[in-house]
Amino acid sequence: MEIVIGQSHGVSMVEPKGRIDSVNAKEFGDKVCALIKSGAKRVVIDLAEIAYISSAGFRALLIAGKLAEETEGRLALCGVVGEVKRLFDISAFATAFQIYPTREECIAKVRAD
Amino acid sequence: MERAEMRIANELAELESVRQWIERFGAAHALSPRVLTALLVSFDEVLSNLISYGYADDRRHEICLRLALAGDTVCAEVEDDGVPFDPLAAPPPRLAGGVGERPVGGLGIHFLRTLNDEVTYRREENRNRLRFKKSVGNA
Repeated sequence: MEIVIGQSHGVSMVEPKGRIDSVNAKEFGDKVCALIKSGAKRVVIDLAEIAYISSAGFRALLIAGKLAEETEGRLALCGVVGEVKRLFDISAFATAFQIYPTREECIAKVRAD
Repeated sequence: MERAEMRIANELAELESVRQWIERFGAAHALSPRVLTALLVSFDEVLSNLISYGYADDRRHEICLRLALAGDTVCAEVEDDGVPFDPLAAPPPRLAGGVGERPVGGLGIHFLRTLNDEVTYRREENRNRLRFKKSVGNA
């Protein structure tokens, strides 16, 4: 899995590509958690280039989300479409995370707080 | 009917080649993203759980994976000599709550049950046989 980490309007952008499964979920989660621990308070994870997420991937997202809450940071998601959206709905994570339909809206909401 | 079989060792490093095997089967039969995702996630859940928790010793074990397309149904099977484990007997996970309250884990079996049309488990001659089926027509 390739993970691009960048900045947009003061927001840390995480863009994984491929899939998040039991093979690579730990690597993905560790990178997001390291970003938050390094002081990133506004984080957007764009899942547009992800084909599917297994429970190991949701576990990694949940751990990152809990860490963001503990450090009083903001973490939001965008690019939740297609099969990824279906998996978010089945797992009821669609309502647990802050998810916005577009990348621009997601960045704007995370910056607003 | 088209069949494919793969044998792997009980090592997490095998999961990458399992994924490629499923994707080849999907491409050969023009499976929709929905069916392919169900297969990829289901095998990932079943095998990662089996390899991590399914054996009472540290020895090498063989796991047999099968895929078949019968009419408009994809039939998948995992056969192993691990400890008896019926995923259908597991209680459903708690799905409510925000990020702060949600427990970590318990989702894998929920995905297996929800993504497939039918899941059956049998213990036969000291082996687990888990089968999951999905129609390719209802995408």
